[in-house]
Amino acid sequence: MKKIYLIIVFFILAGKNAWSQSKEIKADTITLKELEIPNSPAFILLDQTPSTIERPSSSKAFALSILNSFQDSNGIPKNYAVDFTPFWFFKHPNMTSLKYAGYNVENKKQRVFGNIERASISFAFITTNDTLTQKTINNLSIGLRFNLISIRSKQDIKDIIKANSDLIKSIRERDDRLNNFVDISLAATNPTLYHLKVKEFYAQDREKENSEEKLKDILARKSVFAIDGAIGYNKFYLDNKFSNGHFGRFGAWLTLNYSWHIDKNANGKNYFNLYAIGRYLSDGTSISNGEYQKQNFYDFGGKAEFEFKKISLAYEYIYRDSSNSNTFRSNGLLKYKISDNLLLTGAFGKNFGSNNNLISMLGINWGLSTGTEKATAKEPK
Amino acid sequence: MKRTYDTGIDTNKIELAVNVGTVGTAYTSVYLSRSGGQNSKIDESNEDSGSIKNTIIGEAKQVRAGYLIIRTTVDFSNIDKEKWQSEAEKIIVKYYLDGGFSGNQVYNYDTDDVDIVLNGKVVVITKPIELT
Repeated sequence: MKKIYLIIVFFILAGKNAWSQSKEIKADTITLKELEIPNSPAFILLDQTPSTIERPSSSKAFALSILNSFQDSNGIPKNYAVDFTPFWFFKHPNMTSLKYAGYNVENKKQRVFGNIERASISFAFITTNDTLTQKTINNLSIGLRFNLISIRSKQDIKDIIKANSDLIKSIRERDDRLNNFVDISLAATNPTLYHLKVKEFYAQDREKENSEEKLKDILARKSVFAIDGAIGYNKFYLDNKFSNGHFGRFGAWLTLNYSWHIDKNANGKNYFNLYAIGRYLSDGTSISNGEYQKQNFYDFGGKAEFEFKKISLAYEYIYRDSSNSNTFRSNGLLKYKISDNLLLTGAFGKNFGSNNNLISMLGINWGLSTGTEKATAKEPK
Repeated sequence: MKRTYDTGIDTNKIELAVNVGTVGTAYTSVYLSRSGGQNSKIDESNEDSGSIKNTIIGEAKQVRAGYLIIRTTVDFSNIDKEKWQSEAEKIIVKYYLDGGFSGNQVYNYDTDDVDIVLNGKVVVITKPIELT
C-alpha cells in the first residue's frame, strides 16, 4: 500500500512541477475531482479499457488517468494516461457563452460541429507481459479524440437560451445596483477608490446562486445524438530496450451515440445510451516466422448502457473482420461511483481472438485533473 | 489605466465598438461621464454577447472633455469552478474608437482595470477613456 501512496504523491508533485513551469498555469491546487476519467484513445487502442466504446466526458484542461487493476499482484498501477485539451490553454477572441454552449446566435441554429475545437490529446504508458516469452512490453501511445457532431434536444436549446438570458438580466440588474453604490466617474478620477468600492459592493451584494447555476446544469445534460472520432498510434518496446522498438498499432474510429433521458427531472443523470462503433485498426504486434507482421482489422459493433447517477450497466459486442480470420469481443460492464474521487469498474466477457481472450477485470480508476488556475481572487474582508 | 482619445473638430462623429471574447457570460455597459458629475448610460450589450457593434456616441463638441467609461462584467457560473481563474486571464476585451482626430484606435484593458470578485466567479473590467 505504501508504494501506491508514494506513486500518488509522485504524480501530484510531478504534475505541480510541470504546471509551475508554464506561464499559463500556476497549480496552487490540484484537486481530485470529477471522477469520470476520460478513457483515453491511447488506452482504448490497446484494448486496455474495460470498454472499447466510450463517450468523452466533459473536457478538462488536464487530466491524468490511472487504471489500477486488482489483478496486479503488487497493486502498483502500471497503466497511465495523460489527457489535455488545448482549447483551455488559448484565448478565444470571438467566443461567447452561447457559442460555448453550442448555439449560433447569427443563424439561430445549433453549432453541431462546435465541439471539434475542444479536441483532446492523450498520451499513455502501458506495461504488459508477452504471454509467450514473458518479456516485459512497454507501450507508448498517442491519441486524439474529438466530438465531431453533437445535437441537443430542442428543449435543451430553449432552456440554454433562456438560462443565458436570465443570467444576463441578473448581471444587468447587479450592474444597475453597482451604479447606485459607486459613482462610475470615479473609475476615471479616482480609480483606487472606485475599485475598492466595486469589491465592497460585491462582498455585500451576494447573488442568488440557484438561478445562476442553472446554465451549467443545462450544459451538463447529454446531447441526444453525438458522433465522436478518435485516432491513436502506438509503439512498443521489448525488454526495456530502446533499440527493441516496434510499430504496435494504429487505429481510427467513429462512435455514434444516441441518449434517451429517462429521468423526470430535466437535470437528472439517468440515461439509456445506445452506441455504434466503426473502427479501422492496423496491428503490428503478431509474430510470424520470428518477424512482426502487420494485419488490418475492421471492427463494427455496439453497446447498450443504462446510466444512473451512481452506477452504470452496459453490454457491448464488437465484430472484427480481418483477412485471416474473423472474431468478436463480447462483454458486460459495470461502473460504480464509490465517491467523488473513486470509480469502481468491472468487466467480464470474451476479448478478440481465440487464445488468452478472457476479459475479467475489476479495478479502480482515479483521476487527477485540474483547470489552469492562475489568478488569485480574494474577497475584501 | 486611463487612455486618451483626441476627438478633433466639433462636427466629428465619434464611434465606439467593443469586442468581448470569453466562454463566460458577459454584459457590457457604456457610460459618458461629463465634467460636473453628469453620468449617462449611452449603450449596452444585448443577450447575444458582451460585445457592442459600432455605435455613434455623439459629436466631438458634445463628448469632448468627458470620459467614456466602459464596464464589462463576466460571469463564469456556466463553467467548472476549476477553470474560473484561468479563464479570467483569457478574457479579451477590445475597445475601438473612430471618427476623431486620433482616427481609428484600438485599446485593450490593463491589469489595473480588473476586479476579480466572488472567488473568481465574476470579473469586472472597467475601462476609462478620456475624450479630449
